[in-house]
Amino acid sequence: MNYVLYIEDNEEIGLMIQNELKKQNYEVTWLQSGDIASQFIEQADIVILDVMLPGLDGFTVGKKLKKLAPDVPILMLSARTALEDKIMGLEFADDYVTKPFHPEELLARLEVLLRRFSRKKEELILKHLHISMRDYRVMNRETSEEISLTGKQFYIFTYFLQHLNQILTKEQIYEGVWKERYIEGDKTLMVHIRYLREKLEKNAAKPEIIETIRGIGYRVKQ
Amino acid sequence: MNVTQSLVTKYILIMIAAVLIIPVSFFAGSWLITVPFMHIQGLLNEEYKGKSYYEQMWNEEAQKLEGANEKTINQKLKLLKEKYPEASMFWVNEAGQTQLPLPYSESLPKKWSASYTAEFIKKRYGNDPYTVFTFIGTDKKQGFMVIEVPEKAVEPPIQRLDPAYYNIYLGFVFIIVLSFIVLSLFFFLRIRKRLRALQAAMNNKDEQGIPLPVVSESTDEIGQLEQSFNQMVKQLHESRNREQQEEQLRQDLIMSLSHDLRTPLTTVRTHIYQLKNEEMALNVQQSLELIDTKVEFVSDLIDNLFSYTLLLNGKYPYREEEVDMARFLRKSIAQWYPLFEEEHMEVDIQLPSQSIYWRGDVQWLERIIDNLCQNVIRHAKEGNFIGFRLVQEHGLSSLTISDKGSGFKKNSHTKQNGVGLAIVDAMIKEMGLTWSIHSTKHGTDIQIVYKASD
Repeated sequence: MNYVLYIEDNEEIGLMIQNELKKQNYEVTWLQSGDIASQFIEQADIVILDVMLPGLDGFTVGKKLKKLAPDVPILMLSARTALEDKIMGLEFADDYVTKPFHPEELLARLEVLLRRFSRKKEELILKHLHISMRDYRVMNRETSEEISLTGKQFYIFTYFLQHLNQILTKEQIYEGVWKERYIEGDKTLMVHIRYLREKLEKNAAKPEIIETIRGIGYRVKQ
Repeated sequence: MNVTQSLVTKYILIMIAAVLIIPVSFFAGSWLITVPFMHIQGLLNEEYKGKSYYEQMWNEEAQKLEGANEKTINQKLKLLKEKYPEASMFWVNEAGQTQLPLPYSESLPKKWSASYTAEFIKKRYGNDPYTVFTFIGTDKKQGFMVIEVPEKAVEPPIQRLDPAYYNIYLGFVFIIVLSFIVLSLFFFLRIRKRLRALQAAMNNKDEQGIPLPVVSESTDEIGQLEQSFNQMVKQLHESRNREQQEEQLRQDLIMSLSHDLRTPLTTVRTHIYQLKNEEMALNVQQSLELIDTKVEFVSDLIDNLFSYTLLLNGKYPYREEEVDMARFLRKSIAQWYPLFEEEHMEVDIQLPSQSIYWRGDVQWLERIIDNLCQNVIRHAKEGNFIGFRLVQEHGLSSLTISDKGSGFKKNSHTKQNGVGLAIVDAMIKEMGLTWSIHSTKHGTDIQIVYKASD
């Protein structure tokens, strides 16, 4: 069960989101100001932080929390959409959702962030694959055989799993895995994806796990 | 202001000096050059004996010789010669015979005829040597006596000074006049320098675009100008600070207003979400969907309105950079893709394999794409298609976003989404791009053109 530290001053929204999070099997601590937030950061798996808060504002609280626990993702809830705010928030925040948000969207982003920070220790079923999110071990459910991936293949697939359901551009994947700038026209990634598909897909010509989004990139969808 | 430090005072002093400098320098020259020189040449203590002195003296001596005999006259002349060694003397007796008791340089006739006398007088008329003729006694019968004094001896002593003296004297006057010119030039150049420094200070601006204050030491007119200038700089800073504070206040107001409007919308949306989980009739569900759409619409409107206000006031942050358009578009479309999928829209993306760079702000471009995509989803999703095409031809590159909706102008959505498109328009113009809308009842093409400036 993941632990959410939720900081929101509006009572109506706070209460409802807290209930919703509990319904989704999260453990929640809801604070109405950020003043004592640092006491809870130790246990937290993720922080949901509103920008407009009484006392210390969300940016200040967020920066402080990030300093205390850099590996805990922070999701900002912003009512302010001027670009200045987005840029300011993203200096430390890992994602943001603009009010008025759909609760579904908030929950989806929460999942994405938890996965990205490898805080979701669960088993994942993807078509015919069974993946242990703890150590990213991949099993073929039909044959019960473990699929072993080479270094780069493993990193690419892990990157997909951390960004589950998100469309990733070629640049994003390349730069996320290789840690160097992608040069337009480079075929390295395509070649690796082809080999990865040969190992993962039932039919590499008709991929079901790693979906191609034509003109943009790839996606692994749950 | 202190009168003594005024530039007017200085100017008047210089003008007075200009008027007086010539006479004063001559006067000073006399005292400083002539007098010492005369002293050196021993002319200062010498008694000045001019022409009239010799004439008077000669006449008086001749009068005294009334009735004197030849011997007396000769003796007298010898005595006079001792007193006036510079002079030559002789006399002519009543018979016209030349008497030379003293040595005489020229030859004279033994006997003076009338014609010779006339010629001699004529010859001495030019004053060299200065010659005085006087009859001895009063009856003019005893003959006459002559004294000749060299021209030099009757000149005033100043004319007998060494010629080098004149050069020194003129040199002295020249130096005084020159130093006056240098002094007045220096006065003018100093004023000019200070004015130049002030001008330079006005152009020397700090990061706020306000001139830097100058160092003011003097209290004259320019010093006062410098102080006023510093005062002005200070006021500019104050007003700039005030302006910034007001701007901050205004932005804070917009922000908190935006927050205050969005918070209730969030509450509404959360309630809709909770209701959706309940069992309900189809028409209630449809109503909820509609409320949700309207919440989205109001939220966008708030955002657009604030953004538009910022844009119009030039307060929307702008950071220009080189944008790799293919890379940028892939990333932006990736964010919209799930929404297109949800609406069952075909997404056609045609990006070139080589990089195309535009100069602009990524956030602005993102905003433009967002507003245009939103427009398509709102008003042209019935075409089930959205296309993005980036092409480059002859230094021009263009991005075309197409849909297969029922056309642009026919719908009332231009009015509805006016602010969103107004933002697109303002941003495109601000970034130096151009755009055009080509719309038929079978679809709309929006083309944004970038012209690389070399």
